[in-house]
Amino acid sequence: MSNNNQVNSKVIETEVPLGTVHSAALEPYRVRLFVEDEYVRDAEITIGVNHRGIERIMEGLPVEKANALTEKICGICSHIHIWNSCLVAEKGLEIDVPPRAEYIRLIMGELERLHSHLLYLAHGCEVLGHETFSMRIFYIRETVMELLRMIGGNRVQYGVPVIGGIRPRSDLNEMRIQKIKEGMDLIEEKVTEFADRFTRDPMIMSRVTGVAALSKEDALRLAATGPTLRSTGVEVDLRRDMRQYDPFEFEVITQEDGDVKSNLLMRALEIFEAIKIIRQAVKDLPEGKITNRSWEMHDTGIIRSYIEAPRGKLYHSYRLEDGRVRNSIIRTPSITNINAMEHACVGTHITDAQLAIVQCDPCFTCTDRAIQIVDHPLKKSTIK
Amino acid sequence: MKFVVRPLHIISVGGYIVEVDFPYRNIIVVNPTEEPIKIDIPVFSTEWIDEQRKLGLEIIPTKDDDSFLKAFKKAKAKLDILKAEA
Repeated sequence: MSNNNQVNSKVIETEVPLGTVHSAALEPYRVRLFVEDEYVRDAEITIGVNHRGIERIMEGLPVEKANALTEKICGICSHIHIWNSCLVAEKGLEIDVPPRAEYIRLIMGELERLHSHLLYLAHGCEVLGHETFSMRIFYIRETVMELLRMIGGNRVQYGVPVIGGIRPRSDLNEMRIQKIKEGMDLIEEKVTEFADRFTRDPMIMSRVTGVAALSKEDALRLAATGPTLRSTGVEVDLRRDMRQYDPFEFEVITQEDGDVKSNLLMRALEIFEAIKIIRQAVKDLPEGKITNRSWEMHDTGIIRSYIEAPRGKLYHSYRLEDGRVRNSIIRTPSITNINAMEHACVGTHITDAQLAIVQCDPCFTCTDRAIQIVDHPLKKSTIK
Repeated sequence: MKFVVRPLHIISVGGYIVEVDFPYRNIIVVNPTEEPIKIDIPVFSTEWIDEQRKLGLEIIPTKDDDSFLKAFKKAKAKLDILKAEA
């Protein structure tokens, strides 16, 4: 349960369960809301419905195959997983990635941030009950999805990075660069229109202002990360520390209130920063090779890599033995944000509880990766 | 957040460690009882280990140099004996 003592001091008998499968939730997870006078006094989120055991499956696989598997962790931020997983191998094997490949990986990463944030805004509007806005944002997002398909060949799992660079099919030619430029202009125009309309709507503003506010102190105490942390006024962005982002100028967006409004505005403003980075990357795209193939495999110790995913800090770690992955651990941003989600529910009206969870941009399916070994009557054991 | 460990079940929570000076790389959690037990995640500190042990769970932390797979298989074999007896 969240870190407050209200439940300990008093037994709250009314419990409202949500899920594990619920129409308001995109993914299966169980929420228990402990309610008093229609206000949430405590909340408990339980996950573990969708075990896939990716880390267990990665154990012993050749590193290239294991990297490809990490892309399957999330259907929203698949590129960032495979990028970070490749970075682990490149760090351990001391591989230099050609600058052109670095830029294209980064363009993909920022396009993914665009589509993730637009999905967040659309889902937020849906939970608010404004389906027209939701559908309009999905329409804007479609431009990003088509750009991702153009570069990666697919709309969900693009498979762009490989160890030492990117796949040849994902190289950018003049036609593709032109399409990206046009796409950025269109998205900027549409998101500006949306943000203007959204912030001018008194009904929406009254529905999101001051709702489910998280303080800066609580966000830090509960180890919140990414936009959820930045919406409380903490200026932390891993992109500032990544050498891949050194050539680009962008601002780290922060908001002060930590409420639903701050979270929504936070993502909307980050969209403009992502567009700014993509434009710079496309303009200054270096010429040259896209893959470095002159490297040798050797055993390594434990290697760790952090990257700023659309939802926050993403951690990948493994060691290499005979070219195979050992001791793999992956931590997604939603894990560290779950306590913030529970805490944001406390004190809200029951109708705002789902909004409080959604404002932290949960992605439980990529969070559920615990090992589950189930006995099978025919086989010795089956990994789920 | 809570995570339910089913009766006579084994999981690892390496991906749920939010490392702030945390000495272990991974933690294997075994539920040797015949009741489902809820554990608190993410893991923030080493106190978590003692708290979960008090619930009746067997907690096996592994460090960077330890073989996770060996530890997991060992715990699993032990659990299999318990299952056969149950």
